[in-house]
Amino acid sequence: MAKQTSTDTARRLIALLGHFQNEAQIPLATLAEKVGVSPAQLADDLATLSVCGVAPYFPDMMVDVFVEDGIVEVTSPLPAIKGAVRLSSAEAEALSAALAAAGFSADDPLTSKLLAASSAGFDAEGLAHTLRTETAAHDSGVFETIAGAIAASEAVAITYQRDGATAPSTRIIEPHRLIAERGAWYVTAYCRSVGENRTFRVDRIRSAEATGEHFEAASPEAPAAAFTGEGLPLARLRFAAGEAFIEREWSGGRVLESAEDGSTLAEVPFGGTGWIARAVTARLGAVEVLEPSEVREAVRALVRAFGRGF
Amino acid sequence: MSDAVERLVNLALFLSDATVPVTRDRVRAEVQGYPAGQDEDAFLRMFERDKDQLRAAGFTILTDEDSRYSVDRDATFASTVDLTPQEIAALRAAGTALLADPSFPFGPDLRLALAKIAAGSDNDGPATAIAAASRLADEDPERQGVAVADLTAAATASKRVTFGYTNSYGSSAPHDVEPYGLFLHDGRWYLVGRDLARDEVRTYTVSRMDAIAVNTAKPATPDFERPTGFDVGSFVRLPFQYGPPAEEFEADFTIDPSAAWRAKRLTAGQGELVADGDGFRWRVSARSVPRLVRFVVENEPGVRLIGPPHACTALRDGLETVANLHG
Repeated sequence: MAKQTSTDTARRLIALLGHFQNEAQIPLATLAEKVGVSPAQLADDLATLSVCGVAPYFPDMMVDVFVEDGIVEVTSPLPAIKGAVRLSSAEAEALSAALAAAGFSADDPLTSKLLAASSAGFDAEGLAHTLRTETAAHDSGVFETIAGAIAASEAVAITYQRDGATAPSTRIIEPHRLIAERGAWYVTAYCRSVGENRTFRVDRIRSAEATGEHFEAASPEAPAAAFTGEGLPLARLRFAAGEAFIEREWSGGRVLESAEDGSTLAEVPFGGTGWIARAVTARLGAVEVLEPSEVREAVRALVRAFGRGF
Repeated sequence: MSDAVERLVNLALFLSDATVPVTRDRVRAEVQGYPAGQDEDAFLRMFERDKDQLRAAGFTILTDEDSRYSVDRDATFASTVDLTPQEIAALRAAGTALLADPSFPFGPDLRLALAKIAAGSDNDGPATAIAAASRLADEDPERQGVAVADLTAAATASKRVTFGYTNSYGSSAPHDVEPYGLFLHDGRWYLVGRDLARDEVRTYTVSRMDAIAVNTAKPATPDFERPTGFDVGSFVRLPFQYGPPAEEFEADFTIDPSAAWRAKRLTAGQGELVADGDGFRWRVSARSVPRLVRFVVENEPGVRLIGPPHACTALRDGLETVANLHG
């Protein structure tokens, strides 16, 4: 961790002042997590805060905060502070960038509501002209529903249009985790419709509705990443000379050997044949599936489907 | 260090508590932490730094015509924000994911922003953690995160930057750039700025930069003015739109009704999207036939390339090659 300066500590304490307006008892660990320091560090910071106040520094003019048995206690209202301090421009910029990365644009109601209440006239739309953190555009309402369902361990009914499908299907999922990766958000979930853990791209979820039905917490087998090659079958692919094997395009894959003619042999894990057949076909002959036969057949089927489109 | 922290917090409380604007002399006399016997110039420098630091923490400090100071309470203290449980969960999911992502360059400020919002919210949200993770940039995320933080600061302050850059052909050269803006696209960060040697606005892949240095001369004075109307979004392009300008051509698509729901996302604001029955027609500029054809295959069904003829031929020939290889 970078060395902490007095500015860092002061900003941290100022960020927490809103919690100390009234009498309160708050777990030290909860507050420490909010500002990203250890409980011991925050206890030290709060000891400093407790000797702050306003002139003439009589006891009732001091910040009446202390820590006992892991609990932060505030026994009288904080002098002078009348609410949470608004966001600085850097904090508003960070919040705006984070919301945009999660699919909440500058004019999204959540972004507008948060910035109107907590910043001093920050121009989120102006920022969007110089900084863009958007991932693949998804419905922010879908993101909210899924996040809420993860928090409440609640099953969600989704209509999902998978890659290559011409129509959506309806599924009931038990969402476990939201993951941003490769420019898009995914949700890992137990899909009741197929009886397996699956990963769904959020921008392919056309609607999501919480069912009100609760499920047990995620099983240990629930995937922690959107793309995991563990336990998946492997396809052997030959990359023609001039077609580089790029790991980020073939997640979990690896080069097996490079031949003298410039071609490369690689193996790539695949969950279903749809994705890998499409990735191979999109290289228009620069990549060939050597095995297994089911992936070769999937490639042939995809090309035939294209043929019908011409 | 605690003396400086005490002084800053005391100053924040003093200015917030004052019912009328206060003079510097009152600050010096009544705020604990300013050293006794400090000469006037040293006090003034310290006071100016302290005000800047409080502004950086969110305080709006006003100075009137008599050089007296006050806190603008409305601009300094937040109003209560009423969030639904789902909104809180979404905010928490985004925060959990991005605070742990080294390629998100604004983590420390985001953490303080979320702490303030929680302090100003009637509902602090669910007690349970929300499982979420992020890898916005997938190549060397730590290095990209640090670089983007530096480049964003330079763009915000309008300070020139220099860096070494290795292009996609493997050729390296130093660059001196006025940074206008940054964007994230498909797992990579990009910088848009005016290259001073070439006198043109260019897009640079941050992961291809090294030895990034921000001009430190006259830090409070901007080195350049960003062009009026600059929008970094106009530099976010589709994969087939990168390439030599001389090779640019127009591509035409039909988007079937079955794919109309994703037309906006698919076209990413590029080109001209025109309603055609329940579907769309889309005309967009392109610079790379292989990339264009790959885009078509990756996004079918429902997305059909109908022109120009040489691109359609490339698609048909390519598919024939795939069929022969796998026959």
